[in-house]
Amino acid sequence: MPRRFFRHPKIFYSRIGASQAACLAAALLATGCSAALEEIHRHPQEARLEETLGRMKSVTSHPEKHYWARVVKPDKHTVGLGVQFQRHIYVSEPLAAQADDAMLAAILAHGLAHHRLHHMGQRSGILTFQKVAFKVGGTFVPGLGYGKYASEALSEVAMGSWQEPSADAKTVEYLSEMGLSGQAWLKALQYLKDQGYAEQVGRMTMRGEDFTGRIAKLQELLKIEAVGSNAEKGNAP
Amino acid sequence: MSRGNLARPGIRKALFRLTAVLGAFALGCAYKPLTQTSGPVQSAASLDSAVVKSAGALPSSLTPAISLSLHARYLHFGKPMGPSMEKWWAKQQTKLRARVQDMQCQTPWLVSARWDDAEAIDRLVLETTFDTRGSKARYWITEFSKYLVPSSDEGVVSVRARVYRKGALVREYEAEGTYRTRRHLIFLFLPMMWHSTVPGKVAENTIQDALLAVEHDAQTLFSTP
Repeated sequence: MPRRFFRHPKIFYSRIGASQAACLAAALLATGCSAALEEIHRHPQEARLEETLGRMKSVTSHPEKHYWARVVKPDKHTVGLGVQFQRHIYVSEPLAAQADDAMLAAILAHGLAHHRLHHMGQRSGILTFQKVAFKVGGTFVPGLGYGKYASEALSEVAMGSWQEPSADAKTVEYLSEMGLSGQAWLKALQYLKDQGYAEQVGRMTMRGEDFTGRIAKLQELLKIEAVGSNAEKGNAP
Repeated sequence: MSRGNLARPGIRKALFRLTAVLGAFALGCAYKPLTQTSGPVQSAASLDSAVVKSAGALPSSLTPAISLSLHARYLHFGKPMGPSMEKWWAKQQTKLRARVQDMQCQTPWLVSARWDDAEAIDRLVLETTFDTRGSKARYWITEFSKYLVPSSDEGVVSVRARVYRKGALVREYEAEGTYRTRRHLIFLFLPMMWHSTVPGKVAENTIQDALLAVEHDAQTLFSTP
């Protein structure tokens, strides 16, 4: 870095400001404005969520774990399903009212799958590592510290791309163990897409076109499972 | 390190940042609650008595073997706290559990209760929520100014006691306790004003209120076969 750069604070700070603004803009473009989900205290649908979740927990490897299933106010981003820290599963008020039992079970199973696969922990681990790396880098290279804003958002997008299919597969597994069809989650995904609902995991929000690829992958998975079960039935004496 | 090296802007900047990080950490320790107010006990099943008496308490011999569970969550302005506070809240949860275990020994109808028995069909589940209420903007300004601008908010401890009989939810009770938290740089130098045990005491009182409310109805809840 030329010494001239440090001798002119105006240039230095204008460059820092520009890089900070660019990183923030990139972060906003990648994740969208993250919506804070607001719980509705003692919503009538809450008992239904709790009951469904109670039945579902028995098929998981740790049925003793407690999950906080809550109904949230519909916000301007219309988050249908939210998965947050401390084992929180949020379902939007209109979605909780509209969803039938099978769809609600599928939605909750998906939230549960994210928690059981430790997706929140993986995200926070990687993001903390990045934060530290950029902090250290920023002490030596001026302005590099602000790169964390862009990298956090991009990492969340990258992590979402491999976490979501695995959570989808786990959802189908939970549903089949509960005696429900995996098609319920496929229908729920299609419904979320058609109605313009988003899914929020941590700070990452997925909506619309993000669901298209997942639906295709899920259809493939369900086809393979159907072929496998048919073959098993055929081989059975 | 020679004087020449210290004069270099890169090293000066690194030292400044290190001081700022250490300073911010030290200021963060100034979060201490100062006052306390207790809220009334409310019941979901239209139990409108604010003052709950233990008149209908069941003796331990009459109560069936119930399972007792305690779950706690820590919110910040309604949002679940992230993993940065994970160790802290795990520690708080252990402390809270120890407090409830002490209370259990003093409550006759809970003495025989087993902790976290997944197979029990009669259960008492205590859901404790710690939350912060107040102006988010003022809180942010205080954080941003490194606690030079003072702010205060309300800490809320709400307890929901759920009674399950034969696996089905039969009744819910709620209790709420509040305390005030003030934040300012000056409190860092006034440890006698921290009153760090207030949130724990409020939580304990709130859980006790909720248990008393359950105890009030215990006769009808647990005596029927």
